[in-house]
Amino acid sequence: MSYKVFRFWNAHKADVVFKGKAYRVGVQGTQGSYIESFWDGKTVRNVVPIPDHRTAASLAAEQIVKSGIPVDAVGHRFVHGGEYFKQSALLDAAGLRKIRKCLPLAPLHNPISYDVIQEAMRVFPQVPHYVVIDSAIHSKMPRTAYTYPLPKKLTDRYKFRRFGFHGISYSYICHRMPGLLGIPSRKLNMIVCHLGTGGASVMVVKNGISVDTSMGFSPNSGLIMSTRSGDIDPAVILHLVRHEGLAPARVETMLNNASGLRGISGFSSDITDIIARMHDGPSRKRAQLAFAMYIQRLKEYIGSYVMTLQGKIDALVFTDDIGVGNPLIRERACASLSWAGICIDQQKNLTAPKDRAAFLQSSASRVKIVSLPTEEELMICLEGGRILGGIK
Amino acid sequence: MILLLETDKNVFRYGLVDKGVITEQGSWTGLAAMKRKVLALRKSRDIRLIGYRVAGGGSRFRRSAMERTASLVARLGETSRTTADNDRRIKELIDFCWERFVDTRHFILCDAAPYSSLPEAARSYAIPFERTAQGLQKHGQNGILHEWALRTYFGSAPARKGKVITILLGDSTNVVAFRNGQPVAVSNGYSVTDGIMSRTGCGWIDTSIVFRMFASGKSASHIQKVLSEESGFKAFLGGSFGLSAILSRRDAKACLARDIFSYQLLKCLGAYAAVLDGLDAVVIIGEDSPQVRDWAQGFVRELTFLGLRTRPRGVGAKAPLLTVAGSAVSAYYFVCDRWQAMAELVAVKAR
Repeated sequence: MSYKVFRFWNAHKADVVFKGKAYRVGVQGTQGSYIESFWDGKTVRNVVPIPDHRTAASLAAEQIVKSGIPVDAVGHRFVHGGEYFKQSALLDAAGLRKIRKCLPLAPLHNPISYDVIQEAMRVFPQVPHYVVIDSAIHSKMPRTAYTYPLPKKLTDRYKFRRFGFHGISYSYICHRMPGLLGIPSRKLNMIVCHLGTGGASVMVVKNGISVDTSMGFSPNSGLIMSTRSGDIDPAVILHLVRHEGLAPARVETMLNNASGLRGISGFSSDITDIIARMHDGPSRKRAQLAFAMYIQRLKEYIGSYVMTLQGKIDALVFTDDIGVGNPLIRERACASLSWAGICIDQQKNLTAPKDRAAFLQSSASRVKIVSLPTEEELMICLEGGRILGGIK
Repeated sequence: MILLLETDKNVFRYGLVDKGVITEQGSWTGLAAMKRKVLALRKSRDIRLIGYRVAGGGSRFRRSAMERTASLVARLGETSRTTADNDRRIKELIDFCWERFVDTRHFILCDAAPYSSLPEAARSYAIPFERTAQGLQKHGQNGILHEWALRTYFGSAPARKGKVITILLGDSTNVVAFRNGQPVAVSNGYSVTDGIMSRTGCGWIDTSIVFRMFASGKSASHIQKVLSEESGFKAFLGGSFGLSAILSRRDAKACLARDIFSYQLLKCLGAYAAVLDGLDAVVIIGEDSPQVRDWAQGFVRELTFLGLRTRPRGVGAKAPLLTVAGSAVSAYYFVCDRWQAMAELVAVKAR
């Protein structure tokens, strides 16, 4: 869980005055959890058990309050607004009621966000709180990309469609890439891989607009994630319910919390742990399998979206903690994409900085390969200026 | 003469092939009727070989054609696969024929067997490993036809070198990626529902949809019915229409269904090109229909950016090769009858 406090200047500019991150929240792995904050040249790192996100929010708020930096408004990322939230919104009593209705839509995210919202409202009761919705950027997807081939009465009743997520992160990438490439947004074609420690997805942008993305009705589909399965055959669920006697809720919990890297490896949901154990030890084979599956699914999505763009790609972008921080993942993901004009430079990839944009393509590459740290909090802050101050 | 038998959940089908030519084929809804037909054929035809097509088989089926043994038959239908019911149905027919065709050689043709060598990373889902080990993994479908297409593509070439994607185009379209003759990715998964949308199957969907339906009180069997019998093309057109019908209609609903289908297929090709690190050939197996063939030719034009150069429209309209000489990626359209493909397999195995 990450958090930042900004000094807001205008619709395009805000400076970070405080930032921090809680690491390995609720993660079962080989290393312990900790929270780290930075402000005014100071660093505070607390190695403490962080069993859940409400605890993380409490620890973060405590550090912000101690810093003495005033807080005038709090913006929250909210993953799945379903039919209730098509855009960012102020969290008044009605807003909170709608938030509660959205909780089942993304069982792994929305309840956590709600916990964080409640904790933030407890610590900062006098200031406005608002939510920025993660699927808004995908709202212009074409029908061919968002429609599921299901009976109309079903899609009408339950609003089944591909929503897509990680939109705040993708908004930041779309905001930065035109300047980095010197290509106007309306002409920009790119594939963006948001690879986080928890969730991961891929988006394809055509002429500046998201035209498809790997996550769907919920954030459980698409890539293999830390504890989420990503794409699987729905018949697997039906088999477990009908023939193994499992309750649907139990299967849902299994696919959200005990699958993905954790389910395959059996020992960790963290790709860094998995890479570390690929070469020796009793878990070697399972670690190799988890890594191979993670890479294969990622490559398949990149390849799919090469077709969506008919090969006319300006950039392949990697972002978020794993996307920016793990050169091995980038190397293997690009390893068999030369047919699409994507060739990575090994040295540039290995030495890429984690705190700023870096170009990683070789001279043979037709496509720019970019490692770009995301700034979801900045986008949430700027959106707050629009909602609260009417600043455009 | 070769007698070929198969079943799905509704009907039993048979085909008779003599010297590569289909001489008779038909279908029966019940096992008793099928048995009567088999007995009639025994009296009237000189049947030397029998091939039974099974969909799933099980872990013992490592080759697409194996001579019948008691232990193989005993294993049929014992798997956790969705095809187990069909396999149990054909098992009864195998036992029946085994007792009556004493001087005939019997072969079991397994559609999933060609995928037994799929890499573990390609056949596994990212679910708890123990569940994968129980058999909840990708098994693939229509392996006999995909293998036939690959054999036809390579012809008499001694080594099957290259990166080939085969597409079985039809009411239940599926795709296989082969590297040097070995399958490395398949679009159908644990069941036929997974993959590209079909005549009545939803194909790839978000699994949370299933949980939303459960939460609203729907039963597992109801959900199964909706996803496998009321979705796909049928969801758009209201009735059960095949690919040919979708391609021939011009109304908005059919156009949307066709566009989604084409887009899914195109993305699948891209995914497998990424797995294969490029592409040497696309081999489409389809029916002998000008509409489907025309659509296939239009579809492969979408791959021009990969260096694929198609023949001009109308030139060599019925030739299998859809591309011109010198095209960096070649594309073929093979018309295939599954009886012929099965007969070929039985004949080769019997030699």
